[in-house]
Amino acid sequence: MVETRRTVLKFSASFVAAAVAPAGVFAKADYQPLLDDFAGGSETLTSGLLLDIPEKIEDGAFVMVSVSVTGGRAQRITILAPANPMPVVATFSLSTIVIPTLTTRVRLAGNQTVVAAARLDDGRVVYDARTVSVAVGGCGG
Amino acid sequence: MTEPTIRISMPATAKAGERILIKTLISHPMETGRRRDGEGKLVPQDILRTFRCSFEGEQVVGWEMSTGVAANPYVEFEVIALRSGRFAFVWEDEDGAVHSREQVIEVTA
Repeated sequence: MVETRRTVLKFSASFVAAAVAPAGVFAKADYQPLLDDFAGGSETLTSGLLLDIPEKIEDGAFVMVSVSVTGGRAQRITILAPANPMPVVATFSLSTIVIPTLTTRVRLAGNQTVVAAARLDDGRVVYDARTVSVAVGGCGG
Repeated sequence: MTEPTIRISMPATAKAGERILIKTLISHPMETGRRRDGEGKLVPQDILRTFRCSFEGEQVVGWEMSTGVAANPYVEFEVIALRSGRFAFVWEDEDGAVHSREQVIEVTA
């Protein structure tokens, strides 16, 4: 009886792992080419930028997104949604008098890993990636 | 097409070196081209392509948009107020239509 229960637990644990692990791998594979396009060969760092987006989104048509760059002054900020029909959602260019923090509203087609990236004054690219679930897609069609 | 409604929120005055919050909103459907109307026909794509905020003729914030920008495009950002002058806000539709507003700020030492 105990043995059976353990077997079931073991089985379900591996099942969950199988279902979750590839999703993470695919997420990076989905956004990496877009991030590479933005970086244009520059070094990319996962610290220095904070992407604030709800983890569970009911309506993909209106998603509030905040991007804060803490690693230095930013010249450009981009928001990437790999599962959207047009994955480069928005790109901002900022002059020297702008604090590199902004908030906007985007559409998300479905579950995906959203990325915000910024090019700093020293040429480095900083980014943050957040996996979100979207109940109702907001891109039409 | 009716003229869009534009809302700008920013202070009218500031101290030199102060951070000011600017919020902009424009009414626009940002049609993706993939939505169907009541009769099942695709509604043609109709989006704003760019937004530009400039101060005394110099660009402060530029925004390149796609169909992934939500309807009624909204953005808020902070700018360091250095001197008095005029902010201009310009949105350009992909069909070439241009919508703009200006707002003056008085900056004291």
